[in-house]
Amino acid sequence: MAGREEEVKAAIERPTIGIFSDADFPERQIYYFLQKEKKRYLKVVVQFKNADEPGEVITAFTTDSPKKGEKMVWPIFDP
Amino acid sequence: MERLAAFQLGGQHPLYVKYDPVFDALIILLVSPQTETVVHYVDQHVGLLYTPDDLEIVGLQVEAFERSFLPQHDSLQRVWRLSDASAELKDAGDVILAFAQVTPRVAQEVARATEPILGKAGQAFTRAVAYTYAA
Repeated sequence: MAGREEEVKAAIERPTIGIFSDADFPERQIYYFLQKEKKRYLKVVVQFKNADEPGEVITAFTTDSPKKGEKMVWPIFDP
Repeated sequence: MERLAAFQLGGQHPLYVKYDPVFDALIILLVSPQTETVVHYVDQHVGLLYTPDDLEIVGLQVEAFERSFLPQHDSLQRVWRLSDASAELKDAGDVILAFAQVTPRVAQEVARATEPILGKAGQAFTRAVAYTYAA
C-alpha cells in the first residue's frame, strides 16, 4: 500500500463500481477503483470498528475483478 | 503455468508465507514479496496471485483465513495451531524459529486444501510448493 496513498484516496472518494460490503466481515467496506490503463482495479478494504468512528484502511491491492460474496451497498459513483 | 513448472525443475527455491492478522489473510508467494502481483479470485476466499507482465501464477492469497477458511480444513487447522504456539515460547527468536519450521507445512496444507478449487493450476502449485524452503 505504501506509495499508493493518492490512489487509495481516489478509490474511497470516487469508487468506480460502488461500495461493497465484505463477504465475511460485516464491519468492512470495499472500494474498487478502475486503473483504466491496466484494465484492473485497486481494491481498498476499510474497517469500521464502531459506527460512530471513522473507518481505517487495512489493506489495498490490485485485482482483476470483485470477489464472490461481496454485496453492493452503495451504487456506482457518477458525478 | 510455465513458471510453476520451472520451480519444480530448478530444485529448491525460497517460499514466502505471510499472515496479516488485521486483514486476516494468508499470502503464499514463490517469488520475492516485492514482486508486483494481481489477485484473481477463484472463490469467496481464495485468490491466485499472478504477475501482470507475463500472467504467470506465483502465489496464493486466502482471505478470511482464520474466520472462515481454517474451520473448513481440519488438517490445515492442526498445522496452523503449531505455528500459533508462539504464546508459550520464550522470546522472539523462538517465535521466528517455530514459525519457520511450520511455514512449509502450512503452505503445503493450504495448497492441498485449495487444489479442488484451482484445478490444474492447484496441482501445479502444490508440486511447486513441495520444492520450497522457508525464506
